[in-house]
Amino acid sequence: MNSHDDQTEARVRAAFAAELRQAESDLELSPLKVSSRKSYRLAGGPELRRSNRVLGVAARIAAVLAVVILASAATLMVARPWNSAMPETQSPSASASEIASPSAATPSATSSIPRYSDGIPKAWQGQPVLRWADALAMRTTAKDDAPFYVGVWLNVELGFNFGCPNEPVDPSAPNSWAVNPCYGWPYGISADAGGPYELGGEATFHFLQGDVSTGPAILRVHVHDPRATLCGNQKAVCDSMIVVESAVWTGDSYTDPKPFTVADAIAAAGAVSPQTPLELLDASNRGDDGDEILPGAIALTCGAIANSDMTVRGAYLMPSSEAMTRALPDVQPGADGAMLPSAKRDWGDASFWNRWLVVDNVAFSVYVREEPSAADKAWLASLEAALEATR
Amino acid sequence: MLAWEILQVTNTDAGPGTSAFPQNPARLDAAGLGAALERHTPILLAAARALVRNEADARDLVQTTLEIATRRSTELRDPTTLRSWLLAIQVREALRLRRRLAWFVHFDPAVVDLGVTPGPEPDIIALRTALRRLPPRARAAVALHYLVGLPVTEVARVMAISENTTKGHLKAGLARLREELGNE
Repeated sequence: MNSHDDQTEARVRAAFAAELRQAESDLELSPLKVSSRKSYRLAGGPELRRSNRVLGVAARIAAVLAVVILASAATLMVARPWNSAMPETQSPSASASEIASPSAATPSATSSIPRYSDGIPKAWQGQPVLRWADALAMRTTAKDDAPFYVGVWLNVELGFNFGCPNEPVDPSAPNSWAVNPCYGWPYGISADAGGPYELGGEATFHFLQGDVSTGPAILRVHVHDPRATLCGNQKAVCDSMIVVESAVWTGDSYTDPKPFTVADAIAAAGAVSPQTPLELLDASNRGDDGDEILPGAIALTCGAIANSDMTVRGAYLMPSSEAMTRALPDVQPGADGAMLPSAKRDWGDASFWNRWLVVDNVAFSVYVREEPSAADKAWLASLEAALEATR
Repeated sequence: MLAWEILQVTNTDAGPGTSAFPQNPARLDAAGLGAALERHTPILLAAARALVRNEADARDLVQTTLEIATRRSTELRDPTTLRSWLLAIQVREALRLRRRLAWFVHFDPAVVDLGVTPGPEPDIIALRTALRRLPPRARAAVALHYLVGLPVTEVARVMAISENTTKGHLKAGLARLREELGNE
């Protein structure tokens, strides 16, 4: 380090000391606020406030969660998790007036339906189902607001997003469409399972009817929405957006996770980590396995707080091994892969690291020592073997 | 023994002559947790101002950090690492926030949001401006090392990167700051 570095370092340290004084002074005069709207003073029990906020958020998302939770319970019973985790939808061959439970769709009943390689049907109600790239092209080629169908993979995030409320496209237009400026929050669309889940300003769920959940979907959408006139000086932006009207199909046995199911993952984790049985993620247990779940995956979490060595904290299932590779491209599969630095997911505390153990379409979130011991390695191998044994 | 129980008797993360935690074990409840977190709020806010690019985001980042810490408080096994643990949460959230905002919001790195008290020192303004021109991970490393005072090994742990990578971020960050701050 030369004298210039010393001088810079001293200046940086001095400026940071001033920054800390400034922060202390600012907090005295202005306690923390949430999104400039909600005062949140820490002293005297944040737990109570947190609970209130949990309830507030939970109330807003209760409708979505109710569908997910109820359907998720059914998932375990029929061992067709992805499919059952969705609201009821029609099968591709059903008439518009027919409503069929997706779990009623058997492979034989659906095997004759032309599908894309990821299992999404190529047609719906006699109309073609586009893929996302084709739908994006419709923004410029469509001449009117006639609806069309697009097959995508959705990610719908649960939980909090304090720093990012919905905002009008044109703040000066009172009835302007509201969009969320944060990347892919809470709705994300991906062309492929396990791909990046984004909206990118290209689509809006502002006029969504019904519920959507994480997983495959055929969306009824349109462009050139006449309500774009509400967007003030951003009319052109709204006019070119893909407006999601509803989800008309949300998966069947073809898009269920393969080769391993939710039941397989729960059984394997229970065999090697019985103190922390896994359950489907919902509002009541969110956060037990970290705060950023794997987008687009069926999420399982341990029902209890788990911070011990050799513990399964959660598991995430993609519809296919290929989708898992897309979702976690840097993580090598198997117990050996879990030992590599690239498998580190999250810092736990001074002793433990949260790591990924990927086996085909399943990614276990596990806790082992920062420098895994031989016992850790053996335990990871036993978890992998337990899952393999369910084949 | 839970982390918050241990905090009562170890408390080595507190500064000299201070005690952030109640001494009566029976009273270590939500209020005790609140006091422990509140003591670290200034350093979190100062770091947040270095990590994100406007005042509202910085405050929301601290808020989110405290929210997560409250929810996951039982995961902290070693209470002497409370500050590092909080910063690890905050850095991760900052990088996550940046990813989410990447599409919609385009900050002008020259724009500086000021705190609520008048007249931040010129060096603060210069430092914030310079920091915001650093790549996000270099910015985080510099803030954790020089602002918070974490050693390189701890910065590496907090950011989940190697020590060599951390040193690289610090070296590059310091060189860039020297240019920005005019210390040639």
